[in-house]
Amino acid sequence: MPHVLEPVTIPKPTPGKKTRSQDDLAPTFFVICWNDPVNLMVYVTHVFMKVFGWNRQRAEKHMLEVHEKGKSVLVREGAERAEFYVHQLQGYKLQATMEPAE
Amino acid sequence: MRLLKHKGPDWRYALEPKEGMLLRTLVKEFPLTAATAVKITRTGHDAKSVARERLLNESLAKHREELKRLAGKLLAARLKHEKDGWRLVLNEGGRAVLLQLLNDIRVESWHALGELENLDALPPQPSEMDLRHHHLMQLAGYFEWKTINLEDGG
Repeated sequence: MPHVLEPVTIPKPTPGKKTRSQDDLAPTFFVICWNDPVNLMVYVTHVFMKVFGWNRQRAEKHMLEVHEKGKSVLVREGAERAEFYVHQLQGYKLQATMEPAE
Repeated sequence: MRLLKHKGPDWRYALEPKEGMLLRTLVKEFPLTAATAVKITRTGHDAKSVARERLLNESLAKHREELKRLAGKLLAARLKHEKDGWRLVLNEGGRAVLLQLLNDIRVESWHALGELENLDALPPQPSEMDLRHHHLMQLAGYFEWKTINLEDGG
């Protein structure tokens, strides 16, 4: 009798487990500053430098974007950090909001 | 208003006699009105957004109370009358407080005026209160501009 090999069962591949961390899966938000006619341009630049620690060049770039395009996306952050920045910017009376990034 | 010296943590400004009096009067106006409620998002209307917005407005109300407390002390301690005008000495924190309360007066005046696009314009048939708000808005802007521009070397 010929020797019959035991069938080899190859285990079915299991669907890949998600490897992204909780942080990766958490929703992110754009912090946006909106234009208004009342906040002075020098003031807006000043606030961006204070709140984000940006240099003048970067702060002015975003200020001009607010002024010319009506809004500027300042940063993309998780909910808690985005909320923190909105509190800071609104404390300076800038019109800032957080909007879902996805 | 001009910057005399920026050395270490302090900024020393010189103000003309009228400027000093106007700044004192202006700071005493804070808070000009009850704060306008703000939105935390322009797209979200879910429960989380509502909770975040409530928290934001509560936080801003507390922030204004703190500014009010500091405003009273700020100029009393920092603005001194001298024979040729006034001297204002501010550290980093004092300057931040001054700028925030000036801008609060400016923005709340603008709200009270109906959020006009043209800041030089007045509402049709302006009331005495409109004139007052318009004056305060312009005055706050003047001192903001001077403080920041001088601070930043402009």
